[in-house]
Amino acid sequence: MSKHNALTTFGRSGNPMFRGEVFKPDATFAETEASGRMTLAGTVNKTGILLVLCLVTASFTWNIFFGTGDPAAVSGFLWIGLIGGLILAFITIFKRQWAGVTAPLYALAQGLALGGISAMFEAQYPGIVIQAMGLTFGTLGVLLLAYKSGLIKPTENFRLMIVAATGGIALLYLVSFVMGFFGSSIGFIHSNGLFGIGFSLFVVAIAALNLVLDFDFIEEAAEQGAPKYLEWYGAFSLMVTLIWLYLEILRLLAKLRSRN
Amino acid sequence: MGWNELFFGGLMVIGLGAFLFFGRFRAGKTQRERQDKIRWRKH
Repeated sequence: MSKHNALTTFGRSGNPMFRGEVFKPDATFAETEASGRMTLAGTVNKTGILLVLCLVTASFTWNIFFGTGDPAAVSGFLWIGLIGGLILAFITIFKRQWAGVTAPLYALAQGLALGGISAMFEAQYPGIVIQAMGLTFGTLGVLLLAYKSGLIKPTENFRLMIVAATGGIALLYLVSFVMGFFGSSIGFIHSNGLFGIGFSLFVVAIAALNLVLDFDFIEEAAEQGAPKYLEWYGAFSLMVTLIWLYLEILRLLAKLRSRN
Repeated sequence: MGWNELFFGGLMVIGLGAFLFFGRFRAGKTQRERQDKIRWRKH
């Protein structure tokens, strides 16, 4: 597959939120008034708001699970969060001008799902959630510093590599999901053997490197004076990557703990 | 509170704090003034 075809197929960023045409309709950034332009501080603040919203609903389902001790008590919220989050994510991707409304709703929905999932993991492996959160935000901080200082320099080839790997992982998960309906699955994805752990490590690395693409997009959009609503869109994209990274770290830690 | 909570809780606070603080500043000159940057607008 040529480089051009690969980019056309998978989009221009490893993160599906950053499709190639994101900047195109906003080609007249320079004409936007200064107060209506995207800033780095605005994007960081909005990411903080989304994280708080996610935490609020996550605490809700977490408390229900540990209050009842019954997974069935949170399964309804979990599905509402997963399906609602997916629908809201698609709306945000295709109508990014609405991100100011849909991104907070997405964070609330994902919180419902994450709270339930985290509580189930915590019940099985005590202490695993704080480990996964620590590693997720630790990775966020370290990669941000590495990006800001110029230690990691994302290039077109870097993006192509991350896009291809992310697309491959998504395809593998989709195949595994479909196979699940026929009572089968791709064994190594869930196995706690060396290959399964190696696969999880690879996925965690790719999810983490998607953060670098997010930083680069946000930096470039702010530098170019993109419209204000892209602050919400940038924050939303970071949330998508952070949630993916958190879930993959949680799975990796669970695999490691299950070997003991 | 055990070592697990202290270490990973601390890591979480430091990582989030670094993002909320350093995320507001522009990237360094070596990052911004490269010739091989990703051309987000071109695509």
